[in-house]
Amino acid sequence: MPANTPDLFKRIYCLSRWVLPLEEKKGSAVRLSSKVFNYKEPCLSRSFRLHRPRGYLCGIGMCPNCMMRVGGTPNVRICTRRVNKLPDMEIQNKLPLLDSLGLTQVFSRVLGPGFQYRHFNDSRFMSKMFFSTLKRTAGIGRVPSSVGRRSAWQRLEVDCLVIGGGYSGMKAALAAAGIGDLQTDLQSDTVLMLDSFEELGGDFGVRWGKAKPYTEEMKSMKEEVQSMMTKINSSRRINCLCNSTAVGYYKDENCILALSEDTIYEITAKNVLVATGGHEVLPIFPNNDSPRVVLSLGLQILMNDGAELPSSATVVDLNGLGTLVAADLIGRGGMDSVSLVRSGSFTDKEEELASRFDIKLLPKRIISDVAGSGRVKLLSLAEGGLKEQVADLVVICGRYQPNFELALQLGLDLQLVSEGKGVFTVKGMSGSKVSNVRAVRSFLVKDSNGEGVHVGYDTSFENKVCMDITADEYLRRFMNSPDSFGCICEDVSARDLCRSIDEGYDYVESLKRYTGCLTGPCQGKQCAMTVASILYMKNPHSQGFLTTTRQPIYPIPFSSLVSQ
Amino acid sequence: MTERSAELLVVGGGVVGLSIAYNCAKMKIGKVLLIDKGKVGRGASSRNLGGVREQFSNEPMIRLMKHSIDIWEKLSGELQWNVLFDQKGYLMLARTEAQAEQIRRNVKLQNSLGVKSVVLSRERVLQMIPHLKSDDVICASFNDRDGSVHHDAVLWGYERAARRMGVEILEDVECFKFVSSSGEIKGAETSAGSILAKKLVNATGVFSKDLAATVGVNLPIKSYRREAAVTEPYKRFLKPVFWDLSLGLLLSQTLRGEVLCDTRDPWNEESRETTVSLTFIKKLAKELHELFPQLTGLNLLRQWSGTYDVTPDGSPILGEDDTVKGLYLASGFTGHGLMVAPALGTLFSEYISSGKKPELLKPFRLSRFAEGKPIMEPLVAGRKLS
Repeated sequence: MPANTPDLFKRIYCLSRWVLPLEEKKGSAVRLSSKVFNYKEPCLSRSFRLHRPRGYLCGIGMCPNCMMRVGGTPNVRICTRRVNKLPDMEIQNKLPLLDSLGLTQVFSRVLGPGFQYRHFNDSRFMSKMFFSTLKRTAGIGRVPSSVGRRSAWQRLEVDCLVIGGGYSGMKAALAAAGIGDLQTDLQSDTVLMLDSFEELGGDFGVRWGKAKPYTEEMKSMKEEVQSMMTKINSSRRINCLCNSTAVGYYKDENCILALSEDTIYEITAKNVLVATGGHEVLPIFPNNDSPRVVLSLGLQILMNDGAELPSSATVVDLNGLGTLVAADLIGRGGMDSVSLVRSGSFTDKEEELASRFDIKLLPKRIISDVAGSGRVKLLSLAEGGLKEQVADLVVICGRYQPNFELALQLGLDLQLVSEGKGVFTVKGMSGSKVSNVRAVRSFLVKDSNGEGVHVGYDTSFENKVCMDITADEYLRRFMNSPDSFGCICEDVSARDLCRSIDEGYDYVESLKRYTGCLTGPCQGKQCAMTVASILYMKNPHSQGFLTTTRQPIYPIPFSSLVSQ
Repeated sequence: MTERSAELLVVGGGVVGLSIAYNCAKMKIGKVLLIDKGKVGRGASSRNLGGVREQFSNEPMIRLMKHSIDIWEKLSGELQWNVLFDQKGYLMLARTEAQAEQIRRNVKLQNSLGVKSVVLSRERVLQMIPHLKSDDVICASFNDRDGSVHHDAVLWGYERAARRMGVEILEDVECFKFVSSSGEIKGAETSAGSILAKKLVNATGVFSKDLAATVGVNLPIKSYRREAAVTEPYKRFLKPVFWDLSLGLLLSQTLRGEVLCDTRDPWNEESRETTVSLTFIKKLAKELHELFPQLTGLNLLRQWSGTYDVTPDGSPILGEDDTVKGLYLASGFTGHGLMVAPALGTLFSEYISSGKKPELLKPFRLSRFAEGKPIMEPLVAGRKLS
């Protein structure tokens, strides 16, 4: 295994007090994706149903796109694998011929929902032929050439476990340890923080940590996060496990399983604070699965790790962070030309920032197509005309989908809200300082019995995880488009979803089973909200918008589960 | 609330209930009503691995499954819905002499009943199952008529066909109790009021014991949680369903390329829960490491669990009850409900319309336990029968 992680990452942090400061990552391992990212040849893999090309998308292991064969191991998400030098790598599922013949476009129209159930019924011979075709083309990677690497297994017991090291998680941890400015009823001697990134701070660590503050709000947020980090750093009660992802709650064993690069932690805690925040998801528009489409956080992570960026980008803003991201692409990424598209208009402050960084603002427009060569079509909502421009990358500042999986497994109530905003908000956070900056979207919750999981600081939160499933401009316009993909794992287009709902698969469990959405390698992390939104628009009275979340939340290799 | 009535009331909308309802409606026996306390097919029917096999150890089950596979082969055409019945073969691996002996005995019995199963030598096994690293492989039994189906496709196919045939399906209707008087079934009390029926099929899986008890019928059925797991999709490497008899490790690669994994459950207490455990997945990983070290590099995508309705001998309880006339039992499948469902549909429809018990069903009567004539089936995936 060439992934020679430095000692810093190999240490077991549970016994020693440890926090990685914001700036201390120089010379250490970087994400494999930053070494491989190439905007000229963006195809990293292929989807397995329609064999459409796939590029780097989310950058945080929440999509199926960047799975490659690395050092003989299949389906490795190169955006989360850290390396010092480049290992042997291979693109999986190669079939580029299909593109040049334009077949993948045809497939998505022909292979509608339920195709496999409606055809080849009467002839056993045809059925057999169909199966053998399916078997030849299905799947992504090939079986690994060597035995998988085992992990060390460690049991930890703490008073309070905080999952998520973002703004809210830090605040909660400090409150739990009795050092923050916030009060809580639970006073814990040992607090353990889990964070899946290499540093604490959530968006203010990963997204904006290395950027200069572009606005006053950002400056004060960064200072606040920095001061919290110092407090956590100097507290004897708080320990941190960075680079460790919680992968599920197991009721039988009453533990939370967390996985770092080489260790599995089985954590038992008296209190659990869920502050897992949310992640950006891909909106639907024609060819939204193009390899040139990148989610903004993913691109900022590439910048952190020193990847080479192209000179032009079109930023599509659905979450309000667009101006800051565009400024970051120019300020830190060194891009020459960045245009910013938004379905609404821009504020004076944003216009000021845009002129400072020479960002081309395109209000009241939405993106309506991305061609393979980088030709981006923009649709003007005011005049209705189409405009074409060329950009190396399309950067999506997507709506946020909450990372609700763990919360659901811990028995929390998940509420769906529809307030017509078209942007994901965690209900109850709207009045807080955080949402003014619209950068951190974490939440703290407690379970319905008031046991186990506690509210840390936000009393307005109403103890519920909420998800906004209202339609945005994109959903309204492209809901019936055969080339707009709701689920990119299984290539389920928005039209497929609509048709299946019309056929009677009108609640999420049946829709999932019928179309395959929510069951792919991303386990619904890119599509849960899109599917729920489409379902809501077609049938607001549906009996279910969210499916059961299964353990593990993130795919884990069997080898790491083999006890040593 | 208006009182409903039907010629036949099927309680339980799993694959068995749907198959019986569809076939009875096809025979035009009168009004067929099916109720389910949740959504159709959301219990054990959609939580299984979809395995279908004729390779059993006892004559009645082999005969029943042979009939069932005959129907599976034509089912897609009949339902006008491809149930994705993939006859990829089913391989049972013996790694001890006792298992090898059992396998040879079974194959002999199966062959005598017209099932074309074969005993594979160690070399053939290693050829057929790549990446299998085990020194103690002795032999395996294999049958290429066996295979797997897509359980959801089967459910939809039956549901659509049943509706076409005029079966009324009521979802979210819970049955509280059966009603009988002077040894005859009269109907059922449900959350949608009482339903009158001349005949009633109890196909409620792990709940059938409780419901049967409401009319004084005691079913020797225990419920167990059964766990399973699935990997991310991979390029095809495994052709047949693979089942190691020693560990209970079962692997089956779906048409999408995902590998369904299952092993003997670590749980011995009765439970109807459908939660998943770390213990199970650790056990699975360990066994995978033991038999297929290379496959430990595959990524586990998700775990889930379902329930098994287990009888003392591992064979189902089928047919009209002796004490309550008109009450038909179809439960205790011990994990084999999906694979026998098509056969049960046709057999029960003959049975219910003619009143004559088909030969194939006779051995599966409830009274066999009292008579001391159990149909012992030691080969049950996931459980060691005590």
